[in-house]
Amino acid sequence: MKRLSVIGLDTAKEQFVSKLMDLGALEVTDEDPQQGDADELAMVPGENPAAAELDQKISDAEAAIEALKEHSPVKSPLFFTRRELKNTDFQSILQHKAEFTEEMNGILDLKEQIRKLNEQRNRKQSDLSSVTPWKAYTLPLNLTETRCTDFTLGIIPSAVSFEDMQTAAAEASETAVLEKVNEDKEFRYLLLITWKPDTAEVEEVLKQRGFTVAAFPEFDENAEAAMVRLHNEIAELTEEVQKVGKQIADRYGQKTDIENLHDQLIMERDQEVLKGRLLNTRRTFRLTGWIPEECMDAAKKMLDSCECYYLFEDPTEDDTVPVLLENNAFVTPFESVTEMYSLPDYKGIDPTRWFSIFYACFFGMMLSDAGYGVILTIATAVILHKFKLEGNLYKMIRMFMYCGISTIFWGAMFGGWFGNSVAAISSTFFHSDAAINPIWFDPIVDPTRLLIFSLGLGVVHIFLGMGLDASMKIRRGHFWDAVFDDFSWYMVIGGIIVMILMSGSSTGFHAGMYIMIAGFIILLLTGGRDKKGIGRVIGGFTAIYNITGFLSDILSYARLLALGLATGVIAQVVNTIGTLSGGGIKGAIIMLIVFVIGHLFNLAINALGAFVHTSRLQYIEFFGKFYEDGGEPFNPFRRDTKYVKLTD
Amino acid sequence: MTGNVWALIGAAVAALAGVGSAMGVGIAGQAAAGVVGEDPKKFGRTLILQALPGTQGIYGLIVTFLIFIRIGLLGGGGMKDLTMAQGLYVFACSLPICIVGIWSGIAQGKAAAAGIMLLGKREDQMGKGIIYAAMVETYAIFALLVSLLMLFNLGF
Repeated sequence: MKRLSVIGLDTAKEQFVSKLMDLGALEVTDEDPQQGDADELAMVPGENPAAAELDQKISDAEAAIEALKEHSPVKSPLFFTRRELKNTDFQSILQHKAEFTEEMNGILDLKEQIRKLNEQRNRKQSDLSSVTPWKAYTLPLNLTETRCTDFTLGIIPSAVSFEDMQTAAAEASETAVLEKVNEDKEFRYLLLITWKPDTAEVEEVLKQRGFTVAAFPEFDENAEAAMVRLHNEIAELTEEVQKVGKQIADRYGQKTDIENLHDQLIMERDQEVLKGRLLNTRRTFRLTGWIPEECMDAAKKMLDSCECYYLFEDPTEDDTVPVLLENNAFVTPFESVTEMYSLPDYKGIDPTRWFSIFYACFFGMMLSDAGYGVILTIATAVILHKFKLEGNLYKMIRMFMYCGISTIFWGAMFGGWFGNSVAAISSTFFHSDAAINPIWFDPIVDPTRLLIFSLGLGVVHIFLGMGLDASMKIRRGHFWDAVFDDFSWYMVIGGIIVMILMSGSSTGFHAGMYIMIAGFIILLLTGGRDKKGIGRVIGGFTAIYNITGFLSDILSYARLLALGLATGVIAQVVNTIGTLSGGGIKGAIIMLIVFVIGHLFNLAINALGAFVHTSRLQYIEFFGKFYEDGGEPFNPFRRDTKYVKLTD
Repeated sequence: MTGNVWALIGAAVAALAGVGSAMGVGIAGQAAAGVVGEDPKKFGRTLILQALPGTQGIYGLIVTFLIFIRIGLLGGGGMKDLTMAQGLYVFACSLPICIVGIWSGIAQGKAAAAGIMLLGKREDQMGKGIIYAAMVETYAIFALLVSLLMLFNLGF
C-alpha cells in the first residue's frame, strides 16, 4: 500500500471524482480540516446537499424493486448475481433515465394505493370485530333514545356478575332495565334502558362497577345488517388490493430499468458524498488515501489527465493501513476462512497460503467418503458454472469444490464409497462379496493407526504455525526470541517424538531424551527473561507448564479420526437399514429410498461438521501460535453497484 | 443377569446422548424463533446454528449401532453369548458418550442460542457464532472417540 496525496483545481473536481470511481482503487481517508486565517489557506470540507436527496431517491428505487419482487410470481434464483454490462452500454441505456424515473413513480403510486386500501380494510375489519358480539341485538346500533328513555350499550368484564349489576341498576332507579345481549370468554354485552332523568345516575353507579359504554354513532342499521355490509366491503377491498397487486406484477418487466436507475443513483450519491469529504480552499481541493502498489501506474495516468499534483509515500510506523489479501488462484478461495476470523494486521503474515492445503486435507479426512466428495465436487462445480458469483460467496463455493476433491482422495484411501455401499448391495442382491477395497486402510478396522496419523498431522500443522511465528520474529530482528520461544518447543516436542519412535533402541531413545531436556532447560532459563527478581524463576516454570497447552492442541487433532469415523459409521448404518428388507424388486425400491434420504442427511450433517471443525483447527490451534489479526479491510472508492456489474 | 443384558443396557445408555441434543436443539430453537420473528430471511442461517447441538445424539446413535453390530444383534446371525465381564465391558464403552453427550448437548445449545442472538444483531458475524458453539462440541467428539476406541479394541 502507498499513501497518495492529491491537490487539484476546483475546475477539474467533477472529472476527477468520476475518474477516481472508474479507477476503483483508492481508499479515501478523512483528514481534519486545517485551521487558517486567510480564507485562501483554510481547508474546510465542502457541503453535499445533493447526497441526501439522492439517498431519498435510492430508497424509493429500492422500495419499487421490493414491490415488484413481492407481487410478481417470478421466483428469484438460488444465487443472486449481478448483470454484466459494458460501461458504454450502461450510459446509453441511462439516456432513458427520465422514463425509468417515471416507471418507478408509477410503481410507487400503485404501492401507495395498496397501502391505503389495506388501511381501509383494517379499519373495516376492526369495526366488524367490534360489531359482531351485538349480533343478537336487533335495533339499529346508533339508536340512543326514545321520547322518554335512553338506550345505552355497554360491556362489562365477565368477572363481574350480571345479577349484581342488575340489582345495582334497580337500586339506582326503579325504572332502569338492564338486559344481557351476549357474552363471551372475556366480556358480557349489555343493553341499559333508563328513564331520561335517571340516566346519568344509573350510568354513574354502573360505571363504578366496570360498565363501559360502547357507542356506535356511525351505524344506522342493526348489528346483523352491519356485519353483512362490512363483510361485503372487506371482500371488495381485498379484491381491489389484488387487482392493484396484479397491476404491479404486470410491470415486472420494468424491474431491470429500475435496477439500472438504482445503480446509477448509487454511483451519483457516492460521488456527491466524496465531494463533500474533500478538503477545499477557494480554488483547489485536496484528498489523501491508500492505494495498492499495483494500481500506481493506472492512478498516475488518471491523475495526469486531470492535471492534479500528487505524491506517493510509503506508510509510516504509526499509520493504520487497510489490508488487501493477495494470493494465487488456488489459495484465494480460502481467504474467506481468514476473513471470517479477522483480517491480518498490515505488518503481520497472511496465513491463508499456509493453511489452505491443510484446510482441504483436514476437511477431506473428516468427511472421508469418496461418494460424498463426488457429490460435493459436482454440486459446487455446477453452481460455479451456472452462476457468475462474486466476492465471498464465490470464494466459499470454490473452496468447497477443492475440499470435495480432497474428500474424494481421502475417501478412496479409506475405502468409503457411500460407506460400504458396494459390499452391502452386492451381498444382498447378487450374493457376491465384491467390494471396493481401501487404497490405504480402513479406519474402522484399525482406528489406532489413523489416530496416530492424525496427531502426526497435527504436530506438522502446529510446527508450521510456530515456524511462522519464528520467521516473523526474526524478520523484526528478534532472533533470540524465536530461539527461546519457538525453537525450544521444537526441541521438546521433537525430542518426545524421537523417544516414542526410537523406543526400541536405547541410543535413539536417549538422544531424544537429551534433545527434550535441552529444550526444557532453554525454556526454564529464558521463560522469565522479561521479568525481574523472583518473576524470572517463576516465568521459566510457567513456560514449561505450557506443555499442557501443546498436548491439548495436539490431542485436538484426534477429531480428524472421530469425525471421519462418524461419517463412515453412519453411512454403514444407512446401508444396513437399506438392505434389511433383502433382495428383489421390493427390497431394491426400499433400499433406494433409504439410500437417498440417509446419505443426503449424512452428507449434510457431516459436511457442516467438517467445515466447522476444520475452521476451528485453523483458528484455535494454528492461528493461536502466531497470528496477529485486527487489520481493517481495504475499501476503495469504487462503483458500488448492486444489480449491474460494469465492465470497461 | 447375563452379559447380553448388560451389553444391551449399554446400547440403550449410549443412545441417551440424544437427551442432551434434544435439549440443546430446543434451547437454540427458542432463540432462533425470536430472531426469525424480526427477520424471516434469517431462517436458513439460524437453522444451521440450531443443528449444531444435534450431533451428540448422532454420536450416541453411532455407538449404539456399533454395539449392535459388535454383539451380533444386527445381521441376522443372532446375538453372541457374552460373559458377564464382556457384557460389563460393552456397558462401560457406552458411558463416555452418554454422560458427556447429555451435558455438552445442553451447553452447546446455550452457546448456539447466543450465536443465534449474535446473528440477529450482526449478520456478518455468524461464522464466529458457529465457532463458539463448535468449541463445546470438541468434548463430545473426545467422548465419542473414547467410546469408539474402547469398543474397537474389545478383543472378543
